Amino acid sequence: MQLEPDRASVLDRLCARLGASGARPRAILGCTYPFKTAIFAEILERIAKALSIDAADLGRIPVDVVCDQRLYRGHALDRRFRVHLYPHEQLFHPKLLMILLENEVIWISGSGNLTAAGYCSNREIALLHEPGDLKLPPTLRRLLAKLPGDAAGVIRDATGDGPRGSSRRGGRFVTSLDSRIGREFLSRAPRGAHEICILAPYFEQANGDDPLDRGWLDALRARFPDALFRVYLPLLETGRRPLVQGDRALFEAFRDSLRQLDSLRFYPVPHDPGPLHGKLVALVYRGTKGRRARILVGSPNPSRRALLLPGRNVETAWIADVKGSALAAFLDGLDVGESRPLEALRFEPPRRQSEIVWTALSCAALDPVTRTLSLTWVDGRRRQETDVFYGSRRLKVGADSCVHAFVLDAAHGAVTTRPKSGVRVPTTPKGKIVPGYCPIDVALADRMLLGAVEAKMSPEDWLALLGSDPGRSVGFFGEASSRGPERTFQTRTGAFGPSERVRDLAGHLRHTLKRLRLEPWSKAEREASFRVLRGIFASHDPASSGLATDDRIWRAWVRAEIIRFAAYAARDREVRGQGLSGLLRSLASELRGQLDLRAVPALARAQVRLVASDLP
Amino acid sequence: MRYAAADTGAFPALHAQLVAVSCGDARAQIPFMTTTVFWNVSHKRQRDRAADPLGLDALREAMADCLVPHLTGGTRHAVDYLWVLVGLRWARETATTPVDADVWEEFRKFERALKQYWQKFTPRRDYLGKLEVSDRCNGDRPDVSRPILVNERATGLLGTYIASLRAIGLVDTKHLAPTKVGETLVRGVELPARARTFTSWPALRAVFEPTERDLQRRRPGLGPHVFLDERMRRAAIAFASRRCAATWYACGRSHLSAEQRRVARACAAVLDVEEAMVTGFADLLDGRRRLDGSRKAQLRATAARVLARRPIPDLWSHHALATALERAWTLLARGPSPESALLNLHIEVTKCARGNDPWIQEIGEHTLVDFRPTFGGRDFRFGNLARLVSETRWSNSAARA
Repeated sequence: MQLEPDRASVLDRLCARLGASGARPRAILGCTYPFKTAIFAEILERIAKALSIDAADLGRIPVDVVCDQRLYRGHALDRRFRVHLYPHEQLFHPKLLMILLENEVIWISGSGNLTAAGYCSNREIALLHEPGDLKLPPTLRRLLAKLPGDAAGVIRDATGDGPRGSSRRGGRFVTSLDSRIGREFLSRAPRGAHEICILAPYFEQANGDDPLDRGWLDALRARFPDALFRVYLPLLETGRRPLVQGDRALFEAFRDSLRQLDSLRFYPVPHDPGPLHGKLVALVYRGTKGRRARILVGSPNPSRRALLLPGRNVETAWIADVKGSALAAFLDGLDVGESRPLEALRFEPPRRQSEIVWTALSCAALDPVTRTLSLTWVDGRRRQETDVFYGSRRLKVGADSCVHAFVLDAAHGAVTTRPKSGVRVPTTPKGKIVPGYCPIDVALADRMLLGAVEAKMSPEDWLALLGSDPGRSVGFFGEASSRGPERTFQTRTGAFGPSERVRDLAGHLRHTLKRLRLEPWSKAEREASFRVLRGIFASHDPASSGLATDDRIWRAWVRAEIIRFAAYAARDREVRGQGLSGLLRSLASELRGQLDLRAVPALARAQVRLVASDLP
Repeated sequence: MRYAAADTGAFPALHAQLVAVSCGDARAQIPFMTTTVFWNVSHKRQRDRAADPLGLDALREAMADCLVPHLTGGTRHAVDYLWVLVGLRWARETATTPVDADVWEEFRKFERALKQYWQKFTPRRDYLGKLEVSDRCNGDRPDVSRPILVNERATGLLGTYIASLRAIGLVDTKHLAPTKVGETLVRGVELPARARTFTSWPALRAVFEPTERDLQRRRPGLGPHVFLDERMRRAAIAFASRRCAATWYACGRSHLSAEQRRVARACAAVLDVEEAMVTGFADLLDGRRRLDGSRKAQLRATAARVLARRPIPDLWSHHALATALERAWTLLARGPSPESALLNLHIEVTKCARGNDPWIQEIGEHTLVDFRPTFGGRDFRFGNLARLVSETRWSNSAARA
């Protein structure tokens, strides 16, 4: 591990590295405590530019964000990524951005959330990990196994366990899911640490529920009773007695517990170039190779909840051994000036969240083809007491917990839950009740059809999807169209002569074959193609009532062409190279079994059957 | 029916080769690294300047749509309309299927080549992506394999001109193909580009230079199509009747329709209220709780004036942004707190109408947004109209004849 004294933009570094890799992305995963859409969209655009791909093409791979449900307040719909809430009770606090490429995985961790503050204004500590291959720390892969969404699974499956790592050789990655990070840090800590540096925006709450004598500062004091404690806090106001962010009672109690009162020194960190949000604990000791420091850097604040208690927070951190001079240079970058005793400072406790979120839904999944929004409730009681809103519109939820004929708009990517009027909400000392939000989840393969499907899909609408460009975030060329992906097939049945229709169908199937020959960006891309083929077949039922004879023949013809196409493509050398032969062959035989030509005139029946028959 | 006719097998192989080459070069330079820790420097956001926090850009677009419905903010040159037609025709011939996605893949190569031709062999520089293109022009040969713009679809030539071309009937509304009229307009203009054309500078020049010469001569033929629509024709006559005019207010407004006249008269009032509102909002973003007395007075006066001028076009009047703007102007003109009126408008525009995160939620809140409003280029597409009329040498009498 290399601790650099110079400041740098983590996004610039990441993009430079991605640009040099020249590889295609396979999945992107972001983990954050609060989440803001706009900055993530910008990050994705930067990544796409670095990889020399269209930003819209990110809709072809799994791109997921996992955030904490308490702070999530909805997001504008963006077809390039999906948002998931961490499904367990713990406070979800990791800050990760992982990019899986074809031949390596590059990732960022540290203290910066996926918010404008995290990337644009705060003083954050960033860790850029470039293993150079597809290896990840085993602890991180175990965390991935617990995360919702496709991206975490794809990254986990594509990577293998790297070396466990040790603090001395490059460092090791730890998560609170495996062990208590604080205990892990202290269990292998150097014995003779004479100086402890703690840098964070938030510490323990002095008036919290947990007794302070079992807090993180006390754990450090108990282990290193003679050490000098240097505490770095955000400076809020300058002056003769600067105002810093922190809890005076906490530090007073801590100072009183020390053997010497002057063993606690404070360093107010100036607001410029940004408010302090980085978190670091360093144990400085004298080793055989001179002055060194064991550091803990990552998402956890120096609190009992984050570092010592099991099952409270999900945190990630890196423990490493660095040169003492490197740590000193790193901290010098803060321009903190002289140290100050406690009396020389004024304290202002950080603002704590005092809201209770009315969380009633654990999942809202949309099938864009059937336009059904399926809701999963957190528990039965909330269901009776909750109204579900989409934007300002209250949704009618059926007894099956589904909303039918649901229309998605670009402004809202989440539904809101509020207590019904008349429901008595118990007041608590924690604060007021605020609406809960639940992101609308559309499976990746379905998302590629999002916006392309109408409320009632006609056979022509289905046919129009053949050759559409999946995964695009807007209509072709950003025109004001609510249809999403462009349609390419002639949908007015009366306007084409029969031969032109057949020729056009052939052209579109040729395009589909071309797509199947190319290596897909994700499994979902294939699934979308197969779903379209099946949809076309199912919608072109020649036995439907009220059809003219010509239309019956056309529908039967389309069905036969789909079967023939599947059989033909299964034999194609390049498609075979993509491992699709078996799938296509079974699709052809499955559809052939469903080909019912009784509604077609006898003369045409023979021709259609010939088209659908297996190729020699 | 044969599906195998369209063989693009060479492309993935080429792609793989390029990736292998680039990886090979890059990897040689990348030392093996694991983890680096550093203080993050703030990322400079791209969006803040382009954002429209009060919905006023959208209003100006709606007004411009009423004044010159078939132009967009990006439709600048007559010859570009013709380049797009030629490019589409070439892309359809080159693509092996009739599918738009394939046509687009070819067109984007054409556009990249065209921009490199402009940069390398002509003085033209008013196109998007010139920094990237000028970098590419330092190379030994043209490069059409990599994107020039982040979003080539939306901001490239086709994305900029397609709505206008479809509105005037030169491109098919359902497919990416010139209509018969569009074909006629560029008939005889050849673009004999082959794959080899994009691999050397002399070949690129040899193909694009004669085509550009031909297209420059065809520009007058475009005028009758662009100005065929009644409102477009009226707007062009209004400009042509007073060629020295630089604004909608100063042009020959009597030639406009009643609604166009009303909107044209309101342009100046909209610019004034926009300046007052945006500057006031920037003050709020600085964390100020109260605006200066002079600023309040300016807001009150300009809001009252814009309300009296009724700038909102009929077609846009039911839009959520239009309703929010009218409510805000009423509050600014008569309400007690212009600060709240601006904040509420911002929240309504960002949160309700667009589903984004508001920059501030409360008055006095510090924001992270670096918002420095600029007030250039707000001419309601008047400049675009003027340039198109001049370049096509359109005149009403000639059109009638």
